[in-house]
Amino acid sequence: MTKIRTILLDAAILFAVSTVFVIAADFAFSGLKRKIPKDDPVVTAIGQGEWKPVEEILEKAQSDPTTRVEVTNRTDEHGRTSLMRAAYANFSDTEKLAETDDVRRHMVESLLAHGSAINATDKDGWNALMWASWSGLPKVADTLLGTGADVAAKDKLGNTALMIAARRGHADIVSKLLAKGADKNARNNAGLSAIDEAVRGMKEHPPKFYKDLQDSYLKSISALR
Amino acid sequence: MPNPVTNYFSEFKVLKSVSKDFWLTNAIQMFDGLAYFSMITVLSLYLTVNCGFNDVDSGAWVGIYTLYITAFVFAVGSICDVIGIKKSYYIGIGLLAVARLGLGIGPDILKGEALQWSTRAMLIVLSLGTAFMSPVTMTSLRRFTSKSVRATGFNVYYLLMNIGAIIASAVVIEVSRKVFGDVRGNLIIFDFGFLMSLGALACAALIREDNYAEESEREAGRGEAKRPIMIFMEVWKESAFQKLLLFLVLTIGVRLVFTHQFLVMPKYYTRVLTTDFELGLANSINPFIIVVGLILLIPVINRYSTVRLIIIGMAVSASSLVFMAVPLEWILAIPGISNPQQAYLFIIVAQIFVFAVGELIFSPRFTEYIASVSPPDKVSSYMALSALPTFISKPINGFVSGILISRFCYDGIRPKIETGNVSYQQSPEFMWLIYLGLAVLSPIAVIALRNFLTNKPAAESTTEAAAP
Repeated sequence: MTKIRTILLDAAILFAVSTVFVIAADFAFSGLKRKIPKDDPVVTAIGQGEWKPVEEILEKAQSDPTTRVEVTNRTDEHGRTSLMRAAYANFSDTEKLAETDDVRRHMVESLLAHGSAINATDKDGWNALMWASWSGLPKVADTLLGTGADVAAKDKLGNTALMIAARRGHADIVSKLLAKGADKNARNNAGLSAIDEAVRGMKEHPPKFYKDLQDSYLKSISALR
Repeated sequence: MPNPVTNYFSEFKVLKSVSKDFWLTNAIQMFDGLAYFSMITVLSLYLTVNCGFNDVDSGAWVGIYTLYITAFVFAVGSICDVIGIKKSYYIGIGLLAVARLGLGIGPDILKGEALQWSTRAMLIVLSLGTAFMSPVTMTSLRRFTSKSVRATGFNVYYLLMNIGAIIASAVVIEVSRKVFGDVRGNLIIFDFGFLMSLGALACAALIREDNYAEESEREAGRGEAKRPIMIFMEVWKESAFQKLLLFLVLTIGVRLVFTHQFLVMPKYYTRVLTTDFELGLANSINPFIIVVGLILLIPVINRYSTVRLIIIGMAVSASSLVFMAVPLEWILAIPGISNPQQAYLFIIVAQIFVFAVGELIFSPRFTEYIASVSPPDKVSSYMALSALPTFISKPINGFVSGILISRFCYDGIRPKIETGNVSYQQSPEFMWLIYLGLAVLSPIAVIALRNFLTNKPAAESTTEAAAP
């Protein structure tokens, strides 16, 4: 019994020492951590594809205008809002991407209805439409375009949503952007237009490895001509 | 020339004579290994994706979890000598089962702060359970093997552990994430861990703990086990121990690369490649190379001196980070690599491969080194305390990794890399340059201090020289 008591005592001592050490480390790194905002439950729920808890948060915040702006337009350390996070996905599986597009469209609608700033930009100058254009989420892009997203917006390097979609070979989004009046002749800081970006993207994805993408690139190029 | 594969396995023939309790111990280890290796790979992702921890907190809590394991191993390391193997297994596996179930179902029934606090509590329970498993398994393996087959018994254990790691990564993680997706899949992995705990519990119930393979060890096992704090008080003033500590501190940089495998890599892989990247398959390459290397390489490299192998192995392991630290444009200039997806895949596979080769060379030599520098009567004390430097480095590494990930490898960095919005100083490659700097310091420092570290104090050398 004495032996067990000794072991338990040792465990308690070591647990206490470890905890003190963790607290000290946490304190030591607090300066570096300060700039990193607290976890955003809206962003977590977006990542999980669960919209109900977010609806609840937004509904709750609706009654108080200050909280509403805080909840819908809170930014992370990179200046991204929850709307931008909802417009971003990165899946190689096209089925999964299509499913995500369906779910995210409703999320985007709801966020916009609750006061998300549609043309807010992150630190690199990207708005939600640019995120959707990179991600290949046509339904999300459609919703954003239907609600007044700025198709002419440029990031710090002069890239537009059209250039980003063209480079990625998302022909459906390229068409939607052109239909909404995106300027196909605009050039970025490197002097490249959307069609140049599409050609560049196609070269980067040789048919040997990316057979499925070729059609999409060709469609984009033909739409941009 | 003898076939190394046949050679390696022919050694196992001697295990025909071991009791079923030895195999039950290995079965427990296999069940627990499948649960542990699948869980540890997705833990940082689980904390962020399923529980809403930001990158900094998730890194910190993975570090804290590993710190508590080390602390509890110190404390409960000798408990099975007091309460017996079966009770130790019941407690350890029971704690693991509760924690894995709690972590598996937590996100379904709790949200927000409540979920995060319950997750933190469960991680501490999980660490206590994990701490029970390693010492009790070692005691069981020793007890159920005679001296003549013990070394082979431990080789089988090590082999099965690595096979468990391969299956956990290539099958458990892959199937869970493929079938249930990148969010739900994480929870399924914890649920699977709970089921594995039940399997381990059933095996523990069948063990006959009184079945000593060496009768002479029955009484020896009843001796008073030393408390870790007492052991430390006894040896901390000894110069050999201080040198060992210095050596261990110097090698932390490269040994931390091991922890990157579960602290940094899962987020790195899924963020620079795709969210649904085959994380499990990538993580199964390392144990696969270790298993193949154990059979083919170890007999060859064992001819070289321990310190030399440690230095070479550390240098190889550290250099694996070079692939990740160079600017992406350099990798894109390699013929056949035309886009960032291919470039990152190349970087990842090359790093895993080179690191595994280095690990294979230096990792087993560590124990040998500790034994060789310890005074003969204090080998076990030195071994027990060899985890001290990592005790300090683990939480620090957890915090640092979280901060670095949130700055240089945040969720959504890939689009910015592709469009040229991320400079080298803001890129994941820069994060790896920092880690590379830390890792490279290890072999350099050991080479610089080699003579000091390997020279025994004059008094000890004289005593040894005088001995017959």
